[in-house]
Amino acid sequence: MAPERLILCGPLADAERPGDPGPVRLRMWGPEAEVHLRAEDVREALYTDVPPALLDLIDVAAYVYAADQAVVRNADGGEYGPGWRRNLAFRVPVREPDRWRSEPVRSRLVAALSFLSDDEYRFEFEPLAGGPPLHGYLDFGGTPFDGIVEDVVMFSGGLDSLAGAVREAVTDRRKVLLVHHRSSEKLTPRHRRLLDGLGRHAGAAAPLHLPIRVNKAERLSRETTQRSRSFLYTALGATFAVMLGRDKLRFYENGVMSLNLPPATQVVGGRATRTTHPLALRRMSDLLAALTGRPFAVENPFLWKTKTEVVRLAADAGCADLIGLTTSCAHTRAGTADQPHCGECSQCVDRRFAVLAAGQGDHDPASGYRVDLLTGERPNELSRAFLTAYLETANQVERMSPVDFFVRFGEAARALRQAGLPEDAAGSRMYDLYRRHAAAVNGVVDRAVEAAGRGGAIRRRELPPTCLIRLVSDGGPDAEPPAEPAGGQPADNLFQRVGQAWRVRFAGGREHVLLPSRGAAYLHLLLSRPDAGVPAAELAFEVTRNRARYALGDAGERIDRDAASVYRARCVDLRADLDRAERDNDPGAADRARAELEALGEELRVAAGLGGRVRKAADDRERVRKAVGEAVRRAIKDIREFDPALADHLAGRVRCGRELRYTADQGVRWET
Amino acid sequence: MGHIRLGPLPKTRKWVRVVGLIANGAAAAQVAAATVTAAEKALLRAANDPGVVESVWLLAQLPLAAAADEFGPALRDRGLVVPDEPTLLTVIGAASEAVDAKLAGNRGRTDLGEMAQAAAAESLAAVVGGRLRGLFDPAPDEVRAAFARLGAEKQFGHLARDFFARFTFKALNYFVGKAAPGEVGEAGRFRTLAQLAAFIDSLDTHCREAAGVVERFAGGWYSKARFETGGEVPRDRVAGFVAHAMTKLTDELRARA
Repeated sequence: MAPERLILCGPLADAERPGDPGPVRLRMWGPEAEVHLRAEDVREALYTDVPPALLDLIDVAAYVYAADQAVVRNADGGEYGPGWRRNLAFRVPVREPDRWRSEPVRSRLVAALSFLSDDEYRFEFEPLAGGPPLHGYLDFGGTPFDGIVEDVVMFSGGLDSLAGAVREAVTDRRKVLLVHHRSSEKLTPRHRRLLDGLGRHAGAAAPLHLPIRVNKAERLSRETTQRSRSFLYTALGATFAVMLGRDKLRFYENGVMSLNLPPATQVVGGRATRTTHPLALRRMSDLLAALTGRPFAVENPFLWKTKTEVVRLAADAGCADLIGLTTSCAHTRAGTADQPHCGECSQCVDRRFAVLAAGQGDHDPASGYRVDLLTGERPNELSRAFLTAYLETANQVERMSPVDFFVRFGEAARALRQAGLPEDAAGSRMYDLYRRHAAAVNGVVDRAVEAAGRGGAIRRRELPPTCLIRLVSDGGPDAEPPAEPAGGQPADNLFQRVGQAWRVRFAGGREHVLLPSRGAAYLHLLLSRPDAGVPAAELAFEVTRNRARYALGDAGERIDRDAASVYRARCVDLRADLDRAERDNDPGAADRARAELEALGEELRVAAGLGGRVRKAADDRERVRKAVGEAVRRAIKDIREFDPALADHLAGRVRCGRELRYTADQGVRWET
Repeated sequence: MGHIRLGPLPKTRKWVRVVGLIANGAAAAQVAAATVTAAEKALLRAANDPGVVESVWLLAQLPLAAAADEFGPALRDRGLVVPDEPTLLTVIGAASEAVDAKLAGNRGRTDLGEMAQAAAAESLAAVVGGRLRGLFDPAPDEVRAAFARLGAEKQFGHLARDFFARFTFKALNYFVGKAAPGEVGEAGRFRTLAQLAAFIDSLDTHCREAAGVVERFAGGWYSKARFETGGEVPRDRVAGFVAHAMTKLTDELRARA
């Protein structure tokens, strides 16, 4: 369990444990306020009597939202997610502490938040004296408001929320209040044009619009996942809904995104957002009902629609011209006016597929994406990872039976009981929803591959190697061999270089990969010369001079200190060879030894000139002997992890020392 | 909305080795063994993980409830909120909800527990769902009979194997899936998505084969536990079973490299 982080809120931030750097301190009003809420364009008078419980709810939600960004999630390391989940303990001053301390409210608050953000929560509520009323920190503008709001709808400015607003205001001619999170000033002109366009299409039913901004001190913006953001906006939207006499709040989000079944095994728990997951909406509804003392529903009318269907809904209502004004990208800061979408994040990928599948590409041109969905290069591994998971999921789902679907997506179990239908009806609709989504995605892929093939782009290999079309197109004429080592009749005993590693097989067993190392290279040399004694210095020299051949990479032109030792040790051996050649009157051998000595001497002089330390040759020989033996033993240890029999064989038959030797077993012949 | 968070593998020696093996064409079996070595401590914690133990405990309870006089009430006695004549999807939804209730407020929640919870739902869909004429709205008697069959020694072994195969695959692919997609593309090991999918399928098949080691003792354990505890299978016995199963499985995966 993660260590608990204490969050001191409001006046408690200054009153409790002064000077202690441990707690996170959050202030929402006063001169040192770090969290600011600002709502605009709705007449102030509407909100004069906001119940204290709802004011408290907004406070609590804002503190949670700020803490969510102030306390970082840690890297998981080699573990199963201990860094992902945080343990947050809040001390919050509220106007009605008894209500918040009561079991239904406290437990429902924890239930809603823990599911949304995947963290552990603990709350202590203290009495708040002198907190400002809502308009004390929500700054209302003065736009006249004369209509009657029939419903309050959350509006993100993305495709789904546009389609929801279109359905409400254009198709059903209902007067709604759109509560909108203004996340970035950069997007304001786009949103304004979008809302103006929506108003034109809706005519007399033009929706009211309430932008809300949340600003925080820079020091609070450390964690970007922001899983609790929707809780804050639900709190605000629900407050307006209650004040307007409504008993529900609507999110509009397509069902695939709402259910957000994990596309990859590593996407566990809240790593796939649960913003509008049916269970999240139910838990928020439960909390709001407990707080207000009457039934309240947070609902998503698009739960059983795919994103493609949502786009079609907007287009069919005559609002296709607004599609290009919506923004879906997670990386809005990097966007420009001409290219608001990165094209790589999950939202961009999902949006682009839906727009193309709905035949609305003309209203959302490819030029608006920095990376084109179909032909754009994706050097970023995480971008590729998401795209591959997304495509593979669609590819699999299209062929699944209902049983296959629930066998693949155990996470679906969480939503079965939350959709307001019997489990079997919910399961059946879930399956249909995902099948329709998969068909839409696969249809876009198939048409793109067909067009690229017809135009010759695939054959001419004109497309970037990491673009979608290349990734889904099975190998052309020069495709690589299958990923799994296979084919032919490999030798029973194999120790061969392949790519940047070694293929190893012993006694006809399974083939394995041995990663490159000096020890692996020494073993290769020894197995290539069975029964021959090879001086340690010669082995080290051979490998050092030919690093690339032994998959050790290129050490560069300048020899390093270890290499210098090897060279000096080799010089000792060469001098002995030279003495012997002169004694035996073998001028050829003597010339070869002399030439090699001269070449090595020159390299060592250069190295010494560059700061190399002079070392006695005898030290070098001993050092190289030890290093070679150590490297061989390490390589055998690595081999033991996948082939203990081979490791035993080598441990028994490779002799280390000044001269190394592999003594061949009868009948064991190595292909190297 | 809709962010999905993906992450890379750590840069420690053991994980760099896993990445290297994937990149250099190692077979799924060898990658699985290297991953087990790198994640062994975390994997063996499964026996102490409340989410894992609760998921397996629930799997062990379902055949007992199906053998009782009344299926629905017997399930309710075990913490599953279901009607008197539940369908398979009702049981799957209720079982997932029961695990969530056990870990209320995320107390004791881990990724291993999440994976076990999902694996349990998937195993029920696979083993029980595969025996129904149709998944949606099956006849109540058919559902009950399918659950009751799991009480037989051999059938429980089959269910346990399916669960541990899925759980282990998820636990290994949790890491492998962070590295393998980086190898997709012309310069990588997997030139196409089809090649990557084939590799992941091999990993799945490998886990399924290795989980045979669990099937060999799970049925016997279940019978013995029921006999010794008067027909019930308490959580502490389940925790011991999980510990033994995970030790056997990790050993098996290493031996099958």
